[in-house]
Amino acid sequence: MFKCYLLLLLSMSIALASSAQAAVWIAVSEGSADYGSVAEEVRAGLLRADAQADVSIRPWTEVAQGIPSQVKLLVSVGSPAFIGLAEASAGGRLGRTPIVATLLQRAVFEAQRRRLAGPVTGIVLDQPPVRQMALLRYAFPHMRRVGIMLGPESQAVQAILEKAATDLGLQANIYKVDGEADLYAALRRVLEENDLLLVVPDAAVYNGGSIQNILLASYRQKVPLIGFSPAYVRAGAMLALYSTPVQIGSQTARTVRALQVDAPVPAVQSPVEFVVSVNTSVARSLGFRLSEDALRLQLQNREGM
Amino acid sequence: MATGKKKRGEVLSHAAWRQRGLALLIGAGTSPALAEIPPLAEGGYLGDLPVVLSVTRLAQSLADTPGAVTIIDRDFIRRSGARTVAELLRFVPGFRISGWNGANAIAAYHARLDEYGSRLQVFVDGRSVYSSLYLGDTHRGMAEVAMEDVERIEILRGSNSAAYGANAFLGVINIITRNSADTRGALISVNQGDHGISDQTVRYGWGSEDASYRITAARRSDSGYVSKQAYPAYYPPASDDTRLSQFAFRGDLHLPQGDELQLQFGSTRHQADDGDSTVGNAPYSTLNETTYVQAKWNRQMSSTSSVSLLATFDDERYSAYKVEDPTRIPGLAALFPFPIPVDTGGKSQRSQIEFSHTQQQSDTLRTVWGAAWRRESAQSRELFFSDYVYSQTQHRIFGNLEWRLSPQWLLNAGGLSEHNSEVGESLAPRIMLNYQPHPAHTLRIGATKATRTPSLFELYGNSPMINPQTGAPAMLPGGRPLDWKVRATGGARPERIYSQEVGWLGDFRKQALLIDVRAYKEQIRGLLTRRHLPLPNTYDINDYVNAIDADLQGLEYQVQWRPRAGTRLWFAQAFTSTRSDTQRDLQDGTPHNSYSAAWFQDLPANWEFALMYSHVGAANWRWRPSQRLDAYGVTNLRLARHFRLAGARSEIAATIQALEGDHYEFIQPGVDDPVVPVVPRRAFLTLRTEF
Repeated sequence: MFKCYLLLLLSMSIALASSAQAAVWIAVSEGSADYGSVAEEVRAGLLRADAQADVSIRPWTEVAQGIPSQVKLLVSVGSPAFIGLAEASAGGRLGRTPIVATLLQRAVFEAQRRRLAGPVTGIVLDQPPVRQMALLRYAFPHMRRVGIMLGPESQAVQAILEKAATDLGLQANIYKVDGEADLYAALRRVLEENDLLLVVPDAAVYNGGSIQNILLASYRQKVPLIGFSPAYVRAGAMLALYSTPVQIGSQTARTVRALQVDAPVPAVQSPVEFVVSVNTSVARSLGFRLSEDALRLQLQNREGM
Repeated sequence: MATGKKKRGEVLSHAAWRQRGLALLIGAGTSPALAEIPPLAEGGYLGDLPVVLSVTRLAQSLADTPGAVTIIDRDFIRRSGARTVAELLRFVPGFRISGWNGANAIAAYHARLDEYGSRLQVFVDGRSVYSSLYLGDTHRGMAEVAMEDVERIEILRGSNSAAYGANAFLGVINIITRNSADTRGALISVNQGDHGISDQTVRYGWGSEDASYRITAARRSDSGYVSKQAYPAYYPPASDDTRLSQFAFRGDLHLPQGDELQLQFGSTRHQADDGDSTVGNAPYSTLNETTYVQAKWNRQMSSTSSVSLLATFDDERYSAYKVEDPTRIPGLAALFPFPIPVDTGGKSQRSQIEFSHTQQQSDTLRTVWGAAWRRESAQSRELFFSDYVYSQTQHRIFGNLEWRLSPQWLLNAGGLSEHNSEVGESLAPRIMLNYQPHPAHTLRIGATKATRTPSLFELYGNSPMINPQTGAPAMLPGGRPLDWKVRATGGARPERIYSQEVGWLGDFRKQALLIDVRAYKEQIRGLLTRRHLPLPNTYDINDYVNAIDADLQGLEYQVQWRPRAGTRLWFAQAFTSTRSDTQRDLQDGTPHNSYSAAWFQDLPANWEFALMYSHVGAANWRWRPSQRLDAYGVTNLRLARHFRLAGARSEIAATIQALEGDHYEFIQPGVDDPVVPVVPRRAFLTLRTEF
């Protein structure tokens, strides 16, 4: 007990000491209010830990010009900021400053990380496939066949989705879509051959022109559609699993603080905290009674949270 | 986690929905507008989407429905091997399938009260398909849709005039065709079998993000039943061949401003042979040609409000040219000792426009109201002894509210007020309370009143035996008409039904078990019947009069169970009891007990089979006691295999109907009917491919 206390004191003092000299810049993307809220949440989290911390939020375009030497750590919020910093880093403008990339897709992170000169980690938006599959098991215990349409961008996740499904006693049926012509044939099959439709982000499949048709078709065929954002639930998906900007922001702040105390740079992280959201009108209409809180608790218990 | 709660509040709050709806009003649900939305940030994880499935377009779940519903879906239809909609209704509790011959399949609920299905409302995508010509028959209308185009059939058992207008007297059959967005690509389907079974369907669907279309062409033919005679053996085979060909177009368009437009048109040419099943009724052909156009426009005013407009037009031309044997009608041969040509044809038209507005007033209250106008006309020398075009016009307003009193209690209350140009006002109210104490259990209790408007024939029918030499009614010496089948005085009033029911819906998700039980009491008042009326100082007439009162009570239930993946079981049973002091033999008009069962099973290696059985208790379709039909059972069997034919999803199947062999489904041989058609065992092969 005493040892723990000592360790805590020690780490706090190191954190305080390092933050006293080191600045953290948060490079923010433009185009969505969520970027700003995440940046604010990261800053608030850092300031909660150390009221004297030198944290500033700046447009990524400014950060990409180069950084002063007291900036010891960079956070990028959103993919435009990360891509911009990666380019600046490749151009030698950021030295070997560690970067924590947050609020972006895993695929974007993986594609850019090679270009960075210094250490890098990320907190991605993608929910772990096992969590998604577990949600399907809890929400629809009598359904087994999960249809998934994958486009060129998302085909890399096929194996991991299939494995996650198998591990949870589900059967993932993958339908590859290369273009609009394929989409409607795939949609017809996925709805005929499956009990559920799990949406995996891919602009070739789910875009402004197709989402409406997909939502309507899945409702007509009475196949629950599971989305990955609150917008999907509002639009008509029965269920969605996602992490809010606040949740992503506080996880990012925790990661930054760990790095400041010289912890090793962690591997890219999936979101730890999450939300289950249900469109109760759609669920009720298709004869389902789903509870957001109960499903979230089941998932949290499963993950030992 | 606080955020979870906050998010839920945001998703559920209708106020929030409304705000968002207003902000997105211009783009709500439109593909063109959607296409203008820039790609969503972070692959769609961030940003907003327009509301597509707004609360006003969502259908009620079974637990919220004000009444008992049976849904026959596409999987059931395909696996059953049914060639007609009527055949499928065998599996709906209380329905009975027959036909006075093999070319006129009739499905009736509370049979005998309803020999022509005229007390059911049958819709195809919201368009009522009864015939305006005779008694309002729906049996031909039901054949106006190609089986391959049917998405599902919803059968609302019990009176439903409050929502669907007069004629939804005993129940409603909603045939819903597939959205053209779901039928892109080509389909070819062929049935070939004995007893002349030869059906072909060809369909092609195409489209873009904003619109989809399909055309379907189908033919159905068979040689109907077989004549069996108890004694003398010289009668020719039954004259009841069917030759049906049809064409249908459907387009579903997403228009700017969030509008949706559904366009349909099509035509059916239905040749049904007749005659010959009774003495002296020489074989002849009837031809029914129908054409329809319909358009349904829907606008999402906001995420909580939508309006729709439905316009339909139907044209029906019926021709039946037969030669009457003068020996068939007493006294006729003495006047006309030669075969008499009779044309029993006619034509009718019907137009309807219906407006409705759906509004989610609050989290707990949804309302629908609307107004409709309908005009129908009929012209037939045979039915009206005149070339005059008879017509009637209806105006109706309707409203319904769906009020969730608490999470457990739901009140559906509504009504429909109709003004008919010929018979005046009628009002059909309904109230139904659904109580769901547990997600698996819903109890229903409710009452309704419904009406059925007399058909133009029941009001103005005038059908004498014509003197072939003069064209005037044939008269006996002494000035009495020979045989005046109907001479309606226009005195027919709407039939009324008062119905009370209690129900239980058990929805056991974990066991994949769905049970629906309905117990009802119905008081039918003023049922129309043809009565021979002796009039003083003139000749007798046959008029339609509201002469029959009947009380029905019964219990119906259906069980649907999927005990494991690949197995689907279905059981339906109905106990019905009819009592009438004004028409005592009515109590034998409906089987006291009938049931049906289906077992659909997937087998290894893409095989599947279906075993179906239906049992119909003893009852009379016709009025004479001698025409009683004993109880009978029918077993159908189907074996199918799925495979890929040059990459195309295909199916080959063998179906055997009435495995038991010859049996009677309408009347059986007796003193009055020595020759009656027999339903034979039939078998056919199906080949179906989609690419």
